[in-house]
Amino acid sequence: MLTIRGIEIEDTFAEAFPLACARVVLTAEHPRLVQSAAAAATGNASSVIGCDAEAGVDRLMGPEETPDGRPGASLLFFGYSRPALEQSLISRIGQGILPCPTTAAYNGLTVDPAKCLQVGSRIRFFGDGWQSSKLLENRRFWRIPVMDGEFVVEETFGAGKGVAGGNLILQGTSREVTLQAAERAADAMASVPGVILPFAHGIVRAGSKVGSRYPKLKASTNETFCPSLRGQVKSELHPKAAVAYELVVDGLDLESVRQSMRLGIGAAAIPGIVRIGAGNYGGKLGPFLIHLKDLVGTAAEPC
Amino acid sequence: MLTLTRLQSHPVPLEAECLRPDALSALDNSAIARLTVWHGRNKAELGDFFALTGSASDGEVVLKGDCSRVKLAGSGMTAGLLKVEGPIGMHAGTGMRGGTIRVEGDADDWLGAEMFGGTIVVTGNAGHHVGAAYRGALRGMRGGEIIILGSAGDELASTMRRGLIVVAGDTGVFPGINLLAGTVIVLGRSGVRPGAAMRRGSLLFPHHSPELLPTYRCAGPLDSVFPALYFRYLENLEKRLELGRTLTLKPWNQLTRHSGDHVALGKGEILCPA
Repeated sequence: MLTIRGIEIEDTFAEAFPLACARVVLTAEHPRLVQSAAAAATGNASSVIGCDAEAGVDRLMGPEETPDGRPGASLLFFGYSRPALEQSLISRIGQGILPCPTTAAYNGLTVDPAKCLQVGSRIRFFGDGWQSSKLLENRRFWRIPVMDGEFVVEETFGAGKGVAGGNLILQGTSREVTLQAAERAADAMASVPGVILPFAHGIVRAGSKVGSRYPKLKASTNETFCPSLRGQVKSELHPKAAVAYELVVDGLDLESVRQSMRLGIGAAAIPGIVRIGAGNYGGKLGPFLIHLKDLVGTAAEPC
Repeated sequence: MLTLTRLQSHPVPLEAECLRPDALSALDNSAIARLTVWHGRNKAELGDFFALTGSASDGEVVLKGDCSRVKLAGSGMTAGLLKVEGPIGMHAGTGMRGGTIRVEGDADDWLGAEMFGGTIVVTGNAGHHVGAAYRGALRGMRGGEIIILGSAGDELASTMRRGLIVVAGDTGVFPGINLLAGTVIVLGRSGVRPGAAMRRGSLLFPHHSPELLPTYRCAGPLDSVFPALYFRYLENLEKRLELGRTLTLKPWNQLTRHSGDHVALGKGEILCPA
């Protein structure tokens, strides 16, 4: 058994899977407008199980990093397929970013013409014939008249093959300490460029399994990690664990997800945590198996 | 790099459509010297007018000497670099589709007329009809960018359809006449009647408020990041093209939008300080 600072690292793996991904660079006149628009565009996007996309704020950007020299944010979006992701971007930019004062939205990934997403070219119709476009360095920008001036959105967005479903499961002796460890881990994991933690606060208390006894439900509670069901089900909780939290991470590539999980393990290993593990489906769901023992490497101590 | 040095200047124009790096790169110097040019109405060979040194195999060609009467240099070129150390004659870069023409001197009329792509940089002044459509043609420049560090003549961007023209100095009369679309930025002063009969497109005069035709309507201050995209682009252009002078527009003036020309479609705009 491996440990870090005396805390058990379970010999298991996170099972990640590919999703289509896009990066939107959002800008606005003030950082507070950036944050409002980012929250609106990435809202209700925790899991593709029940949402049209998984989305979150990758990082905030300074004026020197953005195309128009204003404060901005890098937003990541993940969807089951490119068409599904395209539709998500159209509705999320159209309903979340466009209405917010002073905003603009730009593509943040390399565009492969064969795999790009037509986003601004759809949103432009909001201009009802008054829209106009500008072509700059082979990038087309649509200018849509709105009530405070113009909304500028890029015509095409690049689509990549991202990695979703990286995760850690923390088990602790109390809710207070486990939540504290989860918050530390979430902050550390989110600090890696090119990843998002799509759930609220970056932490999941509703870990799920595939399927349900109810045929129409795609996912349901993972009873093996529910402390209140000890004695009724075959529990996977540590004997000393009173509570468990999951941290889910999506990234633009596998290495980013691995690095994020690596930092998360290090940050979560505080007194009161009794086991750090990960969720998987027996290797049947996703092609990317991220073994925790590979992540901790030399930082771990054999027990 | 192939260097072509003009043997002697002559008042009779020399039409040298063959002076395009992409075509010359596949030829050896003896074949290049035998390429056909027209000296007035007489058919001649390129080698009669230029001394050749080096090789064009790397796609770079340099013209030296007085080329002010050499027409059509770089016309239709698709790739490579054509550098002109001195003035260049009419129709340089017409119909070009790619590559770069860099003129370290003045350029005569019809620079980049009806071009489709690529970049033209002129460190001196340019003549009339930059990026324009030839008489009777439906569309002028259809892509690419023209950067003029000096001033430009009359009818700049006439009937231009797409692309970017930046003039660091002043322009002659009728800049953007019949403009169909595209963007023209003039950092100096505009000649009279800018944007006459323009349908779409943008004329930016960040530092000068020209007298506009009565068929333009003022929409008030423009609140859009679109000029900022161009200004940021110009900053990058200075470095990429090693222009040696700033195209930076800071401090940016608040621009006022005038729509027009309402004798035509009226979907164009002139942006200038209030």
